[in-house]
Amino acid sequence: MPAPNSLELSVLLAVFRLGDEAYGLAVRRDVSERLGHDYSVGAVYTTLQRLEDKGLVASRATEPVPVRGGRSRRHFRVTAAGGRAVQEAQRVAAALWQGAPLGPEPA
Amino acid sequence: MTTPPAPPPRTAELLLETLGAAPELRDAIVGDLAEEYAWLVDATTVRDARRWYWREALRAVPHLLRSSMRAATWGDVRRRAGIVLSAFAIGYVFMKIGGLGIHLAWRAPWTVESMPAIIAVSRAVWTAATLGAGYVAARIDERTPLLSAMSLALLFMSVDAVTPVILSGGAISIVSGLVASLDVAPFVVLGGWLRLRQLSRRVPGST
Repeated sequence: MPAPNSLELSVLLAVFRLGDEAYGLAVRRDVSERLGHDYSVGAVYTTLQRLEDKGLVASRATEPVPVRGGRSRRHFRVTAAGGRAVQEAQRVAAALWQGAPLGPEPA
Repeated sequence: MTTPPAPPPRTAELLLETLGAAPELRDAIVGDLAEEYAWLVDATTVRDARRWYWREALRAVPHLLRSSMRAATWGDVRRRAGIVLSAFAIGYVFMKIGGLGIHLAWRAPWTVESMPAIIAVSRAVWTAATLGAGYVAARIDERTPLLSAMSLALLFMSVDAVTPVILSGGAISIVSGLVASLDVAPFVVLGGWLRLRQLSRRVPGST
């Protein structure tokens, strides 16, 4: 299975963090705040769709919500394969940072 | 009694709903935008919230179009081709009738003095034909009106690019044909947009 790219990993981690509250709007806010970039709702859902296609997240629709014009929310959760992908990404990042100079201390 | 929250801009919402994207993606995106819009109306002003909604809707369009292309079946393609060709034929006939009217009104040989009027009327006929064809395509296609108008614009551009090659040949003709078509495509899409605006007024909500 191909490893998730950086945006996919960010979205995957947001789904992890948000737990039961992981749906598009919440994921978009979380990722945009943490990365300091205003991601569009379309970009986040395209990424979530790719993660679902890879089997890293699963989704389910809720009951219709009035504030959404009677549309349901699509909640996401990380699958076992998604959990393994996150651990692998963490291991790779740690290996890459091992022994690397971190530069001068910030003032 | 509490006042109901201001609804999102209906034309923008309809734009997102009628691009032919997969229903689950479409509903998720439109629902999220509606939810955040309601929050923004409370936190800021309706004007700012509407501006935000339009910006986010336009940013979502490429993603929904990509989904639409992936979700399209052979039946969808045939249906749209039929709609586009019908609208093209109507636009073409209108142009020919307009051309005939110009020839009848200003009989040859044309004088230098009559040229500005002939050019202006020709331009008006051409604009009305392309705008009308875009509107007709969108009117026939109730499910994905703007998509059909955009497909028609592509057809007009293709015909404009190919015609000079057939008549005179040469790659430069394709370029000049495409450049000439750039003032056609916007009118065709505008025709589709007018239909979308008309549809948005049918249901409760703002435009």
